Amino acid sequence: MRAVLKFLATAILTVGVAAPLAAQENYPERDITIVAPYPPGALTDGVARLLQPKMAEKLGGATILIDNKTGAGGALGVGQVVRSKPDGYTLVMAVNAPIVMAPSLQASLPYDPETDLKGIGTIGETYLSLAVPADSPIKTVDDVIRMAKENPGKMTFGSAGIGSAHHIAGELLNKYAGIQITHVPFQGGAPAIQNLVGKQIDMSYGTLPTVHTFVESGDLRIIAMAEPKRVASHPDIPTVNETVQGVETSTWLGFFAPAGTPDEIVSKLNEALNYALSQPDVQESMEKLGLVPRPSTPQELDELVAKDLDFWAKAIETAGIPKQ
Amino acid sequence: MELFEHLGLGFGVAFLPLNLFYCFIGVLLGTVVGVLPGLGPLATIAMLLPLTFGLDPVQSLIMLAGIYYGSQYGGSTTAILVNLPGESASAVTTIDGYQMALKGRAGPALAAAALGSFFAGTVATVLVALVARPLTSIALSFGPAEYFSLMVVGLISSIALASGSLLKALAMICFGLLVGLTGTDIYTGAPRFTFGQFELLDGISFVALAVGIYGIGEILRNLEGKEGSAPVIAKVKSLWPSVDDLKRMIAPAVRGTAIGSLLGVLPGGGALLSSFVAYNLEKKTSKNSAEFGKGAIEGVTAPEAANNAGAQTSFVPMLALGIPSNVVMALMIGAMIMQGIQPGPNVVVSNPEIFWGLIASMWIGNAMLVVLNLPLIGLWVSLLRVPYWIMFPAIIAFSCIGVYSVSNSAFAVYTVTIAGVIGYFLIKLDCEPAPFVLGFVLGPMLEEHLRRAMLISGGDLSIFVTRPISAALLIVAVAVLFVVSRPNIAKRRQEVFVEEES
Repeated sequence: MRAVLKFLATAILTVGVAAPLAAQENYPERDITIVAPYPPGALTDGVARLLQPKMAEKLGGATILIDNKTGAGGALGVGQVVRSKPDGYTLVMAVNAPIVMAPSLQASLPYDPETDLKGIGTIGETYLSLAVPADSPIKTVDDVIRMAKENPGKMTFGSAGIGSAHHIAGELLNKYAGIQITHVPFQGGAPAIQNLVGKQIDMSYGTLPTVHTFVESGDLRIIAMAEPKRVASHPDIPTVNETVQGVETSTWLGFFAPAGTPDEIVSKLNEALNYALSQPDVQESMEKLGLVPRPSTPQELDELVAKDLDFWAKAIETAGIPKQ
Repeated sequence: MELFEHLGLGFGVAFLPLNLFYCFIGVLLGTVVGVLPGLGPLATIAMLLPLTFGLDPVQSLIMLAGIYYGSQYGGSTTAILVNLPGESASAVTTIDGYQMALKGRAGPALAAAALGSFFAGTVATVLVALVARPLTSIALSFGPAEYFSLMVVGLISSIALASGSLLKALAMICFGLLVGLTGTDIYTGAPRFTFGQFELLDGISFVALAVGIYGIGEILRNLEGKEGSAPVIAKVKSLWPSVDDLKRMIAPAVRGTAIGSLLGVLPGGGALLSSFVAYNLEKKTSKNSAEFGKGAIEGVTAPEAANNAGAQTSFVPMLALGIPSNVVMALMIGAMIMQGIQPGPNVVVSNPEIFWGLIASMWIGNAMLVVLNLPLIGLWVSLLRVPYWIMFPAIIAFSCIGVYSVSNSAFAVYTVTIAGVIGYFLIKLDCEPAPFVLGFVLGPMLEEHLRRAMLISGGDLSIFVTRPISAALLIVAVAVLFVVSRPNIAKRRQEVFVEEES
């Protein structure tokens, strides 16, 4: 009797320990769901669908499903993944906003990005520009500051909404240059640019690819980039930083798993992601989406998250945007 | 001459057999999802988007566009037959369309919707081809002040939608306004009416609300009867509109098309607003205005023409500027980007085959729709004979699947349920849903544009009267207010006369 019990106990223990190991070994054994916390057709969704076939190829022909779980600026989708089982079958691709900006903007965020998420790898980055109508007298950041001082409280800048990188960049410029340009939030980046083309506002921040088509058509002019360094593809455009120190933002896309996902699975996914990012056709399509591929290791993404959480916490505090 | 060259190029592209095929698939799918309650073009395009990545850009855009305007056609079918707007813009079609169906005139109502839509669709397509650029500049000249004044016109018009008590209509508009404010305040980021619910941060889904208020509310009310009887429908007299019906349709179709073509260009609610404004205009100008709300064919033709014209011209900002005028257009822009086309002002020059091919295909698609829909009228009308114990569960099931698929979230299904209960009580209290729906849609937009205009002007209210378009719209609003209040005076005077005579 005792022997039988002992045998059973050992068997159960062995199976209990071995089964997850085998699961990691054979991963993926079933369909993988990647949550894209934005609607179909949005940047994140586009990138996810672009990477999907190449990643599936690298993962031995696994089926990868894209689940558009939209809401609360991406926090709803990220929250769902955080609550799911850390077995490598529910993952999330997201821009940095719900990961590193939301903790400083939303009071009741249902997750802590540092402890609840495990980075798989960085996907790419995109750049924020400051644009004016093509016939505007404003040509440089110095012009912005001079005109804002001559017309206090009269000038306006557009953004993609409260707490967007656009908004924060604009408030940082106000703060560091000692000027007061009124923030006019829109519901997303596209209406802001439309109102800029229609000259309803004096200037607006906007992502490079969107704004650039209007530069080519002769409707808009980019005066500076709200980035730490000049952008490689447009070396002639200065940064706001060159005139007013401290006005910078960064926007990237990352691939995450719930915390507790086994390292072996994470590294398999990281390999698959970086394999997809190295394909020339993927790189070309990403460029059209306005995204520069930035492959990384899982550790590098975790470090980026930690660094950016600090960066945005300070920037948002300096910009004076209250937590809601 | 250049135009003919362009149209030649466009039709050359659109008439390629494969493109015709995708155009047909698009309008067919659009009709089907338009008919199914809750499942709209947004969910359909979102689901089919990944499939189009394998097609070439022209084919995928032709198909996606077909789904969009096809669903505007189909949306009127359930509005007329079961008082359930399949599409936000068909909410106003329910008013007279459903009354016509109850009187056994579902056939003529469906034909009026189809013919009105076809007329509007073809005219608006020609407009897009001829004056896309000037129409774009209208859209660009609309700043926050102009939008605010336009919303004022819309809200005042919505009072006219009420055929019953004016007080109740006003109360319903205010109720709609308040419910519409749910979500994140875009100017401060403060959550409003969310009660800590994360799902409410983006506001309440229009589709879920409309399906609940109209569809579920109506079903609940019908279950009250002893046998759970379906609404009594008079015997179907004729499937086709009479010559008199056709005559009565012409002017409303023309006016509806004009209003829809103009308002459709405006991003954000233009197409929806156009059907309300067109209905209101007919109600006030028609010599049959007494029939409105009781099954006037003008009340079906005008809004259907307007929303279909709007559906065509809402492509203008997308094609000419790369700027979406509604969520569906945002999806189409996503589709273009995925196909490697950067949407924006250069599409006409850099991808003329896409621009002109799509426009030509919209004309062909409209022709296909009318050919597809007219013979189907008999089939749709026979659906009215489906017993309630099959019909009601089917409507509820389709509604739930439809709203679930929009956001992949069970929360939308809860919304339908709660909205259904509210809808039931509204019916019991004799409150009409149309003013509520318009308040719900226009309220948040009114607030958004008012506050944005105030930000830009630095709090100076004169911005609304010093900008010419805005001032003109406010004058229209005052005129509408005058017209809206007049019939009541007239009616009272009539009552007085009746008393004197007796």
